[in-house]
Amino acid sequence: MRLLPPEAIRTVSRIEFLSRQPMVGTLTGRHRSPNKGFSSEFAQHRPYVRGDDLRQLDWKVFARNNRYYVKEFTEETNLRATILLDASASMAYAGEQACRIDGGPPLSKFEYAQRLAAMLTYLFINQQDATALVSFDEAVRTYLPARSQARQLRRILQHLHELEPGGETDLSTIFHEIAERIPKRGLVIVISDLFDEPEEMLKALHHFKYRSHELVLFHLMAEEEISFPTSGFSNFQDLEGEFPDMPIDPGSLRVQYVQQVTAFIDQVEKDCGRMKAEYVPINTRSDVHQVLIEYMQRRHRRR
Amino acid sequence: MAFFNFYMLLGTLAISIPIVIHILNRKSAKKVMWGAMRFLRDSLVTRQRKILLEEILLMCTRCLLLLLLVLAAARPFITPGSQISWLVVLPLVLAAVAALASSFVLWAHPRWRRRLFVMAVFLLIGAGTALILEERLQSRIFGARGARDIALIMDASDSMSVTVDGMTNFERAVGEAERLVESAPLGSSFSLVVGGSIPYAPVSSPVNNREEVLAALRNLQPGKGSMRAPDTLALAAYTLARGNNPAKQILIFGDGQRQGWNLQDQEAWRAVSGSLEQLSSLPPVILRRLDLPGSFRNAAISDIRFSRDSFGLDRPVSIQVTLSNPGTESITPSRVVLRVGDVSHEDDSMSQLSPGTEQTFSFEHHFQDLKAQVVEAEVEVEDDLNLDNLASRVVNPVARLDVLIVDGNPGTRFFDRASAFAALALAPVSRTRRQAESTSDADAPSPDQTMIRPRIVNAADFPQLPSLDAYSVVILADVSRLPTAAADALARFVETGGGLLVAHGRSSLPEFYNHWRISGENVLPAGLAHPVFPAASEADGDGADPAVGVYPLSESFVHPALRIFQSEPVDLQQVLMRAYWKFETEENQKPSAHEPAARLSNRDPLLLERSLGEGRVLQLACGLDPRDSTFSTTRSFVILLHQLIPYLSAKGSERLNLAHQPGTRLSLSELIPADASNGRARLAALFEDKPDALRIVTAEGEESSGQLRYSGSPDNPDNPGDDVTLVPPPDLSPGVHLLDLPDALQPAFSDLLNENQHLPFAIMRESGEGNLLPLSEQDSSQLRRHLLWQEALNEESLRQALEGGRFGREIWRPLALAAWLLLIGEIALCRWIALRRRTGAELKTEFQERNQPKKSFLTHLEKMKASR
Repeated sequence: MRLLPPEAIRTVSRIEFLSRQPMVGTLTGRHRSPNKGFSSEFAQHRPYVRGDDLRQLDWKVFARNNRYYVKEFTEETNLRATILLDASASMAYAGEQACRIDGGPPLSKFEYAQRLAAMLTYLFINQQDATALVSFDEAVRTYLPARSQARQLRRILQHLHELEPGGETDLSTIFHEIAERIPKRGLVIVISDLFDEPEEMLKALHHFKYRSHELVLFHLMAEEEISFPTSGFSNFQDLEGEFPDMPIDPGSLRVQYVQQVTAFIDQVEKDCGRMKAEYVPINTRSDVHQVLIEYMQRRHRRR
Repeated sequence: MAFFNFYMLLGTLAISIPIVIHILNRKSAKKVMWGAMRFLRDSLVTRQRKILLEEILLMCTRCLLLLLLVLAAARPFITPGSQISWLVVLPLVLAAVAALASSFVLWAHPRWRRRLFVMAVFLLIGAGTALILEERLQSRIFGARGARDIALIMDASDSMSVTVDGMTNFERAVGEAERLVESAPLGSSFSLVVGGSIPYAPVSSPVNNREEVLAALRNLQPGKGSMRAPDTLALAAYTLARGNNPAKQILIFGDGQRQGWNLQDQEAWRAVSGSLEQLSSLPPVILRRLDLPGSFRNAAISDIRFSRDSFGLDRPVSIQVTLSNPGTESITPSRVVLRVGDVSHEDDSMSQLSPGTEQTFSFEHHFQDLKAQVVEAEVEVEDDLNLDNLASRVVNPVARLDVLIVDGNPGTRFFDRASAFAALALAPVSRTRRQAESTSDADAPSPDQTMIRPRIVNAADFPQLPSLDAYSVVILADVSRLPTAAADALARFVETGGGLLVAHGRSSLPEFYNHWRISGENVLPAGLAHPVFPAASEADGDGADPAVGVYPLSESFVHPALRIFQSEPVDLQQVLMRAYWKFETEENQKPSAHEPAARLSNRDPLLLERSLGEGRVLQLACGLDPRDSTFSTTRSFVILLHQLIPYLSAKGSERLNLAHQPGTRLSLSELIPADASNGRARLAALFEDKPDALRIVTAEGEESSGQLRYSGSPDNPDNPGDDVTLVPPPDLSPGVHLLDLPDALQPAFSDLLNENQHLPFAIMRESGEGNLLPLSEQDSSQLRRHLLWQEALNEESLRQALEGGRFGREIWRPLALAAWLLLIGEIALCRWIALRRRTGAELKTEFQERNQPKKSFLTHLEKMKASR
């Protein structure tokens, strides 16, 4: 399969994605749950009260202190991950410096996102977590509800394969809508270039936090979009068709452009920090597998 | 502004090169499908104006650079007579190109693009129109080629004798004119006009013979007064009209001194313009202006004035010499010398004379001879203009001045008569007194020697007088009225040059005086309103206090003949006016006619004056006898009459001084004394011979001749050749010249002739030549309203004009310099823009997940640690 080559599967098989905050799932799994129950994860001791299961009494404590204490364990559950994939037209931008697969053409941000989503899906399904996929531009294009079955992977991959970028971006509306649609306490992964009004968009992200989701923001940008290299007079045309054409000499604008982009990235990063969302800036120049591995390593270290 | 290489202007198409490059650059822009348009837009919002400004600046600089290069290559030149200043045209062109260039840069902004394009079009139309108008004017001035008639005008004014760089401007002008004539194209014909106070034409019609013109040029001398430009140009037009070539041209060689151009006289210039337009083609007038010195020293005798218009041998006369400094530097002359014949007076009480100021020196001289004598005033000083250091006059003291006093109150006692005091005042030396004092006062004149000789006639006898010709002045002393015939005869006497003093006593009848007219014109300055008796109550008693009465106010004696009352102590305040007439004025009289020559202390007019024909009339508000006032008993009364009577007499002592102006004449008839033996008969004899001219020995010792003009009729025995006038030759310089009269005439003028039997006469130098004020640009533009006026910059440009070429001050150098500066500016601008764009090239956005904290965070942390 194009989106999930064997190399990617090999990469992803070696890692696991564990949530940082308690998740509410339907099955027993590897992730912490807000509920206490039976599992190998010790949570706390509490005094015995009538009606408690005697099997849970900690006899060792009784032997030492002559008091009845019950041993509680954190319940582990499976994860409900929702991948939000930006399929707006601006994601179609590739840039000359983007990474290439097997010497092919440079990957567009969308293709990059497709691969990232595919790998994440495989990762989650592989660890029996329920995975949902939402693709959107100015509206939600497709919504594949969370399932943990193996066939969910096929469905998602199939869907990803069929997706084409197009349409404008309206992140804030989409985020509000999706935050309402998906159940509480899940993992929400956004893969987007975030080219929208930052204030509105960041406000909408808060909605996910309000719904107690763990939020991971994969911010994709091409190298050209970041560094804005100058190469003669050019006529810039908007991929989304929102803005009129701009015939300019890029050199005359580079400084201002870079300042604007830096300010934007800083703002997004800061706001993500405030809402305890995980901000993952990804330059499409980097190898997609490598990016995921490095991210997972950092995540494990921080956990 | 015009161009020597007009077709080089096609090169202005080169300014389209940067524009085309700009357009092509835009057209060939690489298409980039871009996602992050939001940042691009936000960046553009802050930078767009600056980017546009940079691009406009760059585009304008490049276009203007090319334009200036092309303009410089087209060799533009400025003609001094351009209709529209190049300082207007050039900025118009530059602004038009700048607007055009900017409109292309702002192609994406249709509103601005349209505005700038329309502005550029309008500016180009304006500049183009100005250039076309200029081109038309230039082709009118320089258009004609080949054979033409050229009037050379040589400014021979006094100022041309000023030395500049070791050579007088006149020598320089003659030199240039000679070279011009020698190098003129074949077929050119020249006439030659000399500009002076009286312009004349040594070569009066255009001739091909260059030798003739060159010879005439070499004979010219400066010092002909001031160049009267309108008259000179009219004469030049006249000489050109006699030429055969259709193309005409006037070249003036002069210093461009403003004196004599008379620019305020629009009528004269319109006449000049009219005479030039009547020629076969309107000739351009080109002035070759020679440099005037920036600063120069000059002292000039600007005037010689005698205290009385007529004077005799009976007493000394005061001679006022005015010394002025028309130069630009202060000057201290060593002395002023006044020479009268062999006698010379000196005044060395000199003080420093600042520029623009003047000083008057007073000399007293007692003339001993009735002959015409030369009075010369000279200032001894080292200055740049010598001609005006000497001024001359020729005077002939008057032997006698007969005054007829018509007595309106012939009483029985002498002192009761209205004329008694006047007669005594005019001839103060009585035979009795003379006899009594003859031993003690040898210098006092005898009655026969007094100049003024009064004769009293009763009013009743006046009509019976056969003729008034023997008299110079008539005084009507308290005459109530005159018979019509006598009144008409008296008015005609005044019209023909006699003087009349009317003293209104109590008997004067307003019915007569207020309606005394001749040829519909009032004879008197004003009518009589009513008598005034200001001191009537006091007059009745013996204790009259003159201090409270009305008296003549010496400060109000503004009449030129009465100025002595303002400077000399007089006893006018002691005069008591008992009665005087209040004048009425007619509404149709000019206000200036009401300005009295003298007033009383209550501001009522005392003395009025008017001119009637060639004579003068004075009207006194009171009588001349003591009944009306105590005036006649004062010393001032004597002075008054002795000032007024010579003034009223037309036969002044300065008849031999001629103004240096066109139409000046010396009337020989007037010079013959009335009592000269056989004078009239001799003149008639002269008239019968009718010689055309008389020989004149000029001040320079050369011979010349003056034309004689005759009027009158030999058939009239009373007036045979009454007006025989001498017209001095126009080339006569100011100064004293001698008229050589035929032997037959000499007896008639025997009283005037000098020892060589010559009659001296003076041509007075016009003042103002010492002031080297040049024609200003404003004057030039005024001249352009009447003439095709142009100024040549140098001899070479004049030669170009003669060959049908153009001339003007080339300005390609400043344009090339400006282009060079723009080139440097363009390079600097490019560098600056590139530098600005490179600034921040090292800027990079950190866009990757970090294992380490941000640098900014670490820096902040370090600071916090340090502050602890």
